[in-house]
Amino acid sequence: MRELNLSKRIGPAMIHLFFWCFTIVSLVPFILIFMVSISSEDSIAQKGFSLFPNEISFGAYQFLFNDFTEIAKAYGVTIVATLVGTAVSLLITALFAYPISRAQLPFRRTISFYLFFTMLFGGGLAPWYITYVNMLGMKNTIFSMIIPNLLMGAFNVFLMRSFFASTIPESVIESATIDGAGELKIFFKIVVPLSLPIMATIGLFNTLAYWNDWYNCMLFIDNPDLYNIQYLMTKTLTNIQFLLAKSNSTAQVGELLAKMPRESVRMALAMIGVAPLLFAYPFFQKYYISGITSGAVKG
Amino acid sequence: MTKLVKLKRDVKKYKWLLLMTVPGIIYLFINNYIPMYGVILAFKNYNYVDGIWGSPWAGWDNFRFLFNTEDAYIITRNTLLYNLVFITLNLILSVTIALLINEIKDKVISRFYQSTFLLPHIISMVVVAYLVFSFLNAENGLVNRLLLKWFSMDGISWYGEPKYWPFILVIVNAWKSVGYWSIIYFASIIGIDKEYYEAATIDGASKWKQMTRITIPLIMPVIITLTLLAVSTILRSDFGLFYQVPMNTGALIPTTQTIDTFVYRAMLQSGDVGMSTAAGLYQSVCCFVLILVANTAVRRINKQSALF
Amino acid sequence: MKKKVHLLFIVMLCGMLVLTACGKGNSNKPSDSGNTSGNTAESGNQEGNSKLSPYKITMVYPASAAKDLQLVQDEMSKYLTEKINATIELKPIEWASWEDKTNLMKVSNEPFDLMFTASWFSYAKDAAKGQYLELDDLMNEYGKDIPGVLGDDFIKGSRIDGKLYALPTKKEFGQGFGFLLDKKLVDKYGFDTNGIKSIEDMEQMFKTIKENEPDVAPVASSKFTNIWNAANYDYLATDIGIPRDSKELKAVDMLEDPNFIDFYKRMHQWNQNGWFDKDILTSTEEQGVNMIKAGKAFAVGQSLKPGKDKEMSLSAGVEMIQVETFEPFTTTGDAQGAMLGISRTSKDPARAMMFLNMLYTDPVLLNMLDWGIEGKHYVKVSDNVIDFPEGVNSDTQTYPNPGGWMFGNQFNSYLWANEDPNKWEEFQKFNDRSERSIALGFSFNQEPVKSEMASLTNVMKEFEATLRSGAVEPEPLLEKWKAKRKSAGFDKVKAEVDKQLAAWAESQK
Repeated sequence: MRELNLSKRIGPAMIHLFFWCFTIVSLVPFILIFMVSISSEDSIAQKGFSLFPNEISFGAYQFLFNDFTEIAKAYGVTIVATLVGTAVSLLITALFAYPISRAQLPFRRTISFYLFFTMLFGGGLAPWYITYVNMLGMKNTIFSMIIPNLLMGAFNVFLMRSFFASTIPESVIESATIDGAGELKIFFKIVVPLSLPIMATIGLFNTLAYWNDWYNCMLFIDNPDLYNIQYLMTKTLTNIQFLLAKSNSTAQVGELLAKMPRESVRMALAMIGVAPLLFAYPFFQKYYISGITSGAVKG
Repeated sequence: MTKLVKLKRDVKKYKWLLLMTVPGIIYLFINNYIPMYGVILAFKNYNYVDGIWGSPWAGWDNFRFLFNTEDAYIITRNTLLYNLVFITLNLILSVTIALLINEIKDKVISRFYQSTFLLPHIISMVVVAYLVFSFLNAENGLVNRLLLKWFSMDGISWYGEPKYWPFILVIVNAWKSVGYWSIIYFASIIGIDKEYYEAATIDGASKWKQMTRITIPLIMPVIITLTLLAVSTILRSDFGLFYQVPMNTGALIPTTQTIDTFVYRAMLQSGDVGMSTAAGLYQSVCCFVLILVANTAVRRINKQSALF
Repeated sequence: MKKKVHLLFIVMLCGMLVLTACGKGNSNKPSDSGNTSGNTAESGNQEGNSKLSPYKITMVYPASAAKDLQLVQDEMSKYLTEKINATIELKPIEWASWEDKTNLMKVSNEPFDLMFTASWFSYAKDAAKGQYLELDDLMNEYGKDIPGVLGDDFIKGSRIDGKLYALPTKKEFGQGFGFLLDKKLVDKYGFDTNGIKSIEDMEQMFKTIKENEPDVAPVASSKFTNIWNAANYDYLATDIGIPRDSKELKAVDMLEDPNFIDFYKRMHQWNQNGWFDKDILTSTEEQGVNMIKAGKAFAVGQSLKPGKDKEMSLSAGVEMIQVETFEPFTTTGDAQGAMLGISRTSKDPARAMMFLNMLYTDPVLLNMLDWGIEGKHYVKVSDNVIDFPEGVNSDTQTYPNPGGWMFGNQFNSYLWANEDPNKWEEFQKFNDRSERSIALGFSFNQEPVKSEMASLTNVMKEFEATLRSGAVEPEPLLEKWKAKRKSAGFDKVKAEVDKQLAAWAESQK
């Protein structure tokens, strides 16, 4: 009897131990860059990047906040792209998903296939890029950071379609039609209020995708005034790397290297870049998790 | 003819519904269908002056060139092998974690674990690159400093040694995505009817037995479906993982180049639009075939999970 | 029936969209009408600026954006407005993203006027794709002074199929080949480096080092064999070149050339003697220099130019001496080492050419671009010698040199107080004595045999490192190499080279 009890207790304890290890693995990298960002230069010189710096210094943050315009601009671009992108994206997704969730829609299969085919086949980067830049002239505009992500692939549309199909009762729509409501009115007054959960989920997916986007900025933006925060971070990371790699080729680079922001500044920038997401995460994680799981079950 | 009349009537009746889809249709046309037409670039010798339409035809030259070099082999091999390892490792780890989370009865703690494991999934690859850099930087990185301290080993120049990167990228990928997959598997586990377990407990089946005899068999369809879908995209790779995390370092290309980074680099670094398109088309066509095959397989196993 | 209607529906939609998309596309094309503006003005001799309408010249080049870029740009614009009624936008792009960003600019038809290019930066490829305008007529009208500054050989070397697509910087014009030696060891054993003229003469030194310094590798890195190739052949395509001393314009298969085989036999002998470092298969020149620095190696093969040893000693922090084993040799590739081309998207190519003309003739403008504003970024020590202003050093300067070797006539550029005051005279002497290849001005167009070239390069990769390291007898290895090369299409490439070379020779008459 006793033995059984013991093994019953050891099992869960092992599980928790395992999970605590896993939790540490998930979190340590974040803690590390935070600690580096508040390490003094001397400490980095002596101990390298360490979780336990010898000396704490907020010099890196002071340095960054001293001339905050670059970061503020980049944040501005990210925020505008995220807000506009998420809103427009939700609208287009919902407008597209709702009709194809209705069984009576003429051309329903054709339209669905038109959407679905984009999941099967793509033209590839080069033709896509040329379309955006040469046909639409979107280079160096903020639209180039909004429009490419509008539908996030066809997946979100299908997710929403199956939500509409399964949760909006046909009878509600029918009775509204009998009452003389037009399709647009039905959509905005009845369907949308009933679909807030899926809207929230997809809105969240979109927000994250826009917030984390650097790819479009890298492809389409030359003008430093339009860099978003992710790309600004990329630049800071790779630029120093490049200079380090080539530093013995010419004397010139050596001089530049001396002026580059030091390691702690780089990590401080990373912290500033990721902080909003980390702070917001506890508040939205619940919805995010339920969004993922509903996608898995329904999609 | 009556069909046509009915159709006309339907179109009129549902014109607002049809109009609602117009923004999406226009968008897809621009974002997806025009570029699909652009694959003719793969058969052209693109030059700047004549553009897409005017550039002279090159027949299969771009493909011949692609397959005559080692590039085609290397990028296909890398993409395939990485994905195979990712799929296997993610599956094992995430199912294990899902099973273990299921053993935790305290809802709050279970929730805490889930959201912590998911955290790496929501950050961008740029941030991941920073995190990796803080570990692997040759001079100050945590790993080299620990090697020195614990084993008195000389530091390794991680960003100059391609041979380590298959391991690094596998670890990074697992770190970033295992949380996500385990939540999906966990969701399908809690969907299992509780009665099975009650019956098993009465029969005196151990936890281990319940796991292997009930849980795993019951989520098997989900596992197979998700795995097959992952296999169908086995020729696509996460561009950010292979581009940002190795910090676009030339020395690492032999082991970090995948089809997607190749397509990007062929266009941007060598300015070879035709070959870039050719490599992209090669990928698209292979993926297309694989999706059809995988979907047929999924349909056999679990009709509802099939894409079409 | 139903299907047809579906199709119609989509076709109509598509048609509508194509129309709107095209409408937009047209408005984005650079208009040609701008090209003629300013052409009415008199040539590039900077008078008659009253007739020129204001124009902004955009120049794209690889460099990091300097802090005071705007200041320098304003100052240059002020100066240029007086001379050719133009302003300038300097558009430096970081080296790290140079290829990405410029390729995107080219693909997206972005308007700009001047761009840096070079044979090692896809000059030939871009010219073939039509990115750069042909410059002969423009130069004759608006850049009259340029040929005088550059001289015939430079311009000849810059041509592709007889057409000039970019203008080279006047700088060192040729590659010397030799070794950098550790000065400590040279002094220790009292080697006389002055008399050394050939690679054979080096061997006595290596022997002495091997016998007396067990920890020192006499030669680090075998990458220099590449430079030996470049010093002995005008290299046209994989393993095809014209021997340096050839009197006729005829390409040979290098793998069958006795000179080539003898050299690699010698390398094999060196390897047998244990003169190479342990990592000879992979070690690079850079590692070689580091080994010298660490006292683990004696010599490293290098391509040389005047003052190379001083430059390297400074950057590596260890004193080195250079020994030239081959006189400098000039091929097309050297002429195309750094150039500026005028983009097809330029709205006023004539003005861009006037600006180029000034870069070659106007030291005021060139030095502004190279060093910034006098009194702020540098002070004059004497007529053409400059130094940092009080309180400024290389760490605090706000306009670091973007790279004088990229623009116009580098010989007009000021020298720094710590540099050899005769630097440009030395360069001139070097250029004058550098032997011109008989095929100077010919560049091989790989396009017709692109895929064969790729295969050949792969074959080469397989054998090259082994051959260079001297690890095995060269002759059996070369036999294997030749067999494999044959199936990769070597004969076709060779025939193509011969054909193009013959056509070029014809056009030179």
